[in-house]
Formats: sequence, C-alpha cells, structure tokens
Amino acid sequence: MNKILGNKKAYFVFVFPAFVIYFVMAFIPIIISGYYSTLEWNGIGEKVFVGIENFLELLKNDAFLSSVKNSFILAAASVIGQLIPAMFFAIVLSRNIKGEGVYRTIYFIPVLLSTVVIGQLFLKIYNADYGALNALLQKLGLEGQDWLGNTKLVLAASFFPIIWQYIGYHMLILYTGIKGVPAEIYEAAQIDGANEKQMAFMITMPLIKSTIKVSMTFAVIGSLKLFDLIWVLTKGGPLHASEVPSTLMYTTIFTRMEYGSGSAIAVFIVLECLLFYFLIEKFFKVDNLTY
Amino acid sequence: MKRAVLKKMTGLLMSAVLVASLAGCGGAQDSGEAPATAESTAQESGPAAEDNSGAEETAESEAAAPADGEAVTITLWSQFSDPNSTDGNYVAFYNALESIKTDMPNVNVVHEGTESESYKVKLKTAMAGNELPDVFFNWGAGTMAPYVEAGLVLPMDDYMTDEVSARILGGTLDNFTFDGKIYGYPYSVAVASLYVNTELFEQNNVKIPETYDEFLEAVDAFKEAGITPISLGEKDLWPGLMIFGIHAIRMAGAEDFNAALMGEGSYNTPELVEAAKYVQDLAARGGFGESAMGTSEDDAVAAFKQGRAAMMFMGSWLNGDCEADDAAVKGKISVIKFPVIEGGKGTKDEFHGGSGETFLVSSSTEHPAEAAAVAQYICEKMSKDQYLAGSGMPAWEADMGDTSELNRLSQEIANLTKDATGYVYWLDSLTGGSAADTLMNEIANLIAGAETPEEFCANLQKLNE
Repeated sequence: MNKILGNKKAYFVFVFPAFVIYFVMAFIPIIISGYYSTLEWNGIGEKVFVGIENFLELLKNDAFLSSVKNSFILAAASVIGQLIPAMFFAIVLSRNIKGEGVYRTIYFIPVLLSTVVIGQLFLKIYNADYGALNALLQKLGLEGQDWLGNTKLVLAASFFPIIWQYIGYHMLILYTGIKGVPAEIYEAAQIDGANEKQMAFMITMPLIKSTIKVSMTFAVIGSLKLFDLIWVLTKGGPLHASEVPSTLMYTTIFTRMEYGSGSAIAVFIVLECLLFYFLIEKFFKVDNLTY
Repeated sequence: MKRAVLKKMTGLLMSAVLVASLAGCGGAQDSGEAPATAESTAQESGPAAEDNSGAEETAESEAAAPADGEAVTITLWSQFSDPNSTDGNYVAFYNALESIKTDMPNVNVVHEGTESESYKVKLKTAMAGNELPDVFFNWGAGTMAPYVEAGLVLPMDDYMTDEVSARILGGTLDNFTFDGKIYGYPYSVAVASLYVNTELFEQNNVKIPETYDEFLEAVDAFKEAGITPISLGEKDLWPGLMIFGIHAIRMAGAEDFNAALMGEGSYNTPELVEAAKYVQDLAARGGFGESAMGTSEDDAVAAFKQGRAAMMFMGSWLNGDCEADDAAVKGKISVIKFPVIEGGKGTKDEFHGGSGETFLVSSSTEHPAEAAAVAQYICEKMSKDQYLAGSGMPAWEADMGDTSELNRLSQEIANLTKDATGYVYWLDSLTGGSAADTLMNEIANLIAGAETPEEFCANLQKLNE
C-alpha cells in the first residue's frame, strides 16, 4: 500500500481521468464565462468588448446587491439551522439507541426527494387560498398569509424548506464522523464519571472537528450557489425579494438576453465560493488526529 | 510537506467542482447552440426521408410541374413541423399547403417544417449564411424588426392590391408594418377581452360593467362578498402586462401606446401616468384579491374555472378552458369589451392582442411575385381555417359557412372585434429581451405599490433613451 502511495505515477493514473472531466466540464466553462463577462452581447449578434463594465454595473444594480445579501443570510441560516439540529440528531443516533437505523433513514428521506418534488410540496403548503399552513392557522384562529407573495415573508418561507431538506444530509456526514471515534474513549470517560452532555461537548465535537468543517463548507457553498428550490418556489420574486445570485444570473441571461452581465454574476458566484472556502479553511484549523 | 500541498490542491479542486456546476450554466448556452443547429439540420432532411405526406406532396407537385411547363419552385419554411397535429394553426397550415396545389398550379411549393425552438435557431443561421428560403414563417414586431432593418425581408406593398387589402381586417397589419411599409400578411388575431362569470354577477346583483365606474363598482361589490374580483397570476409576471396594457390602451390610445413601446414615443405622458394610477388603484382596492403576487397563472385560471373569481382579463386562449367539460363555469362565462375609461384617448374598439404571426418573403428570392402570392394565399386560407379550428380570430374577411360547432366564446369575441380600429400586441412579444423583462418587473412593482405611477413611467422611459 505504501508503495503505491509513494508512487507519483500511480497518483497520476488515478487522478488523470477525473481531472480531464473536471477540466472540460468545469474549468473551461468557468474560463469561457470569464471571457463572456467582459462582453456586451445578446447571445446572437455582435460581441462588444467592454472590459470590467459589467461588474461595475452589477455594483449599481439593486436587485444584484439584495440577491447577494439574501445569499449571505441563507448561508448563515444554513450553518445555524442545519448544523445544530444535524449535530444533535447525529450524537443521539450514534449512542446506540433503539431503532438507530430506522431514524437515520427517516431523517435522510428529505435529501433523497427531488428538489422539484419538495418545491411543489411546499408550494401547496404555502398556497394562500388552499394551503395547509393557512388552513392550520385559521383553525387556530390566526390570520392566513400569502407566504410566497409577501415581500416580507417570502425570504423566510422559501429558506425554510431549503434548510429543512439538508438537515438529514449533514446529520449523516456528522454521524459517520462520530462513528469513527473509537469506543474506548467513551468507555474511559464513563469510568471517569462523565455524563452524556459532557461526552458530547468535550469528546465528540472536538474529535470530529474536521467532519464539522466539511459540513460547514457544504452548507455555506451550497447556500451561496443555491438555485433550484428558489426557482421552483418563487423564481426570485415577488419584486426580487427572494432573489439569489444564481436566479438573477438565469433571468439576466435567458430572459433579458444579456450574456455579458449574466456571466459577470456567474464569475462573481465562483469567486465568492472560493473566497468562503478559503476563509473556512483558514479559520477552522484542524489538527491531524490519530487514534 | 508535499503531501500537504497535494491535500490542499485536492481541496481546491473539490471546492471548484462544487461551484462549477453553476458557473457551467453561463457557458452552456454557447455550446448548446451547436447541437440545436445540428438537430435542425437533421430535421431538415427528416421530413423528406420519413414524412410520407411530405414526400407524397413533393412527388405530386413534381408531376404537376411538367404539365404546366411554367411552374416555379418556391421554398417554404415554417414551424409547423407535424402534419398530424390537431393544433388549429397546424391543421389550417396543412390545409392551405394541400389546396395551394390546385389553386395555384403555376407554383411548386416545397415545404420544410422545423419544431419551433429549433426553427428560431435555424432561421438565424440561415440569415447569417444568406440562405433564406423564398417564404418563411415568422413572428412580428420586436422579433421581426432586426430582420427588416438588415434588409432581409421583401416589402409586400407592390404586390398588395386595393382589392386584397380591402379583405384584410383593420389593425391586423400593424406588427408587420415598418416605416410605412407592409412586410407580411396576417393570418390570425389573438385578442384579450374581459371574461365575466355571469352567474356570480347575477347571484350578487352586480351589473355587468359597461363603463369604468361600473367596473370599479363591480370590483368593490365582489370584494365585499368575499369573491376575488379579478383573477390575476402576477407571480408569473406576464399576466400583469395585460392588465397594464389594456389600461394604457384605454388611456393613451393604441397608436400612442404603440409608439411608446416601439421607442418612437414617450412613456412619460399624462395619459400613461394616469393609466398606471388606475392599475395601482385597482390593486390597492383589492381588485386582484389578497394574494395575486404569489399566485401563478395556472392557479389564477383554476380559480376562475372553478367560479372562485368573478372576472379575468385574458387572451382568447382562455376560451377552451372556460368551455371545457371539467370547468365549473362552463356555459356561464361571457366575454365583453374592457370598459372605456372616461377622459382617456382610447375607444372601446381598440384591443389588446392582435395578429403577430405571418409568412415573410425573403428579399433575395428569385421569384418575388410568386413568393408574395404564396405568402398571401397561405395567410388568407389559414385565417379562416384556424378560426374554424377554434384557435384565434380571423384576420381576413371571409364567409365562414356553418359555425354552429365553433366554441361559443370564440364567436362572441369575433363579434366584439369585427369593428376593431387598432391593436396593441402583447407587450413582451412586442418589445422582446431586456425591455420585456424591465416592463414585467416594473409592472409588478406598480401592482405591489412599490413605486409611484410617476416613477413607473420615468423608469419605463429609460428604455427609450
């Protein structure tokens, strides 16, 4: 095994096919998007080189600025709203409770559902006329709301299913990390008289720090580039209130036919995600642990 | 050390992959065009190889050609790709293609049909390569303008006799007219009118509105009764265009509003500000119910179909929905002209909608006279047949024969529009691209009360500067 790991040619052989696919499918489009972002172009006619003007225009575009703000709110909400419940479920499930497998599956089901299915489900729940949520509120004597049509409510209403959907996903990542912690450590702690809460905070969490970092990276990057569920629920509306950068990019390119401006948003999303990746990497120093 | 670097690189690669799935979207369109073109090329040869009726037809016309000796071959492209479709326009087109063989023996029409999305790409490619057919289907107004500006389309004025133009119904040529020259013949008129649920009007003792004041009284009465006055799916944005469109037509008149939309006039006029005020007031008094901003067009149509809304301002394609067997409102819907607004320049005979599809003649055709005759023949023939097939209103005068089987609402609309003096076409199709998107978003702002009518008109005027 060590012989293989020390062999640079073996690295090359294993990495090369994947690298070629990523290069063609990911890096080249990013570079092309970068090129488009310097153009004023409607997708058909003449391409006019405008330099960084598209980016300067974005800074003056209220819809874009509020979409970036929304994506930051979502990133923060995801980290808090996904990782904390996910951590709780993961710790509880990993303590060899009865029906561990069943609960693990139940919590993971939302991840397996297609985003469009979840979107349609929540469209029906939120519907102002016949939605389940308003029916419930009215039963309780409260007033129903137009959840996806009210600019003040739409952000919270559309973020809820996004956050809800991926709790199970992060739970599974963290659960796997916890299962990797040797049982002897817990046994030793129990002999020393530690209770479950102490074990969770003093042993489990510090030991799975690298797994938490992975979860956090996924939650943040996933929020910054989110498109699908917002598109199904609101298309960024009403009045751009639930707009995120990727939905704005889509309408800019495909509805407004402004390829340059839309590509500038795409480039922004790439750079933003890379920046956050490095920030998490920098502020989340992890020691290499060996048990 | 080296391993740490490698680890970092792998991490970088991973994160790049995470974001790349999105960034790919921006570039995808470019690479997407190539396959689409390839597809349309494939389809080009498709009908000839596979489509029996197409092959048959070519063979027949070839057989007819030697008999005449003078037959001219006219190439014809359209988006009507499927001869077996039951869509009214398709049926009408293939009827015309069949009858032209006997009615115009001096031409041999060779047709190539391509599915609509591919058709647009195919047409643009052909224009770039200067390989346009003699006659081709196209949409009017904003879609057509770049082609006309590039000199790719032949004006029809020289071929259009007074006798022909007398048969064309008023206002239907607007979207094919540029700088006073007519470039295409109309073949159908899709028109928006006010759909009213007569049962709800009777039950609530509300008068079917003839004036705008009565219209507002009806709105208030239905709101009082807990019924959505006007069903509007503003979540999809384009339905709001129609509401503003008809108010602008009533206030500014079709001519001035068209001028503003085409960039030749101004949005900053007292009439359009007034129109915007009416729309905003209508929304503020609950005319569109409590939740129009979050309602999709599908939900809005469903609400009207189920009798939960009293009125809807929509295009004639709603006819089928209202008369469908599963509609709770079947037989209870009537269509009326949108009421005139007092003090406005528009009359009751100016309509929203219009004729926006046509057949154009390429300016590089070798047989301009024959090509123009073919375009005219097909449009006139289709006008009648697509009406009988329940698709849109006719654009030409014709004896319709037995219309007892026709959709009841289609007949009512035909009656309403027979004295039409002007049309404003669908605002999004008319303007296209970023202008259409700006219009939709500004109107949503207006309806939601996020900006004043004055700001609204000033923002629209930026499109014309």
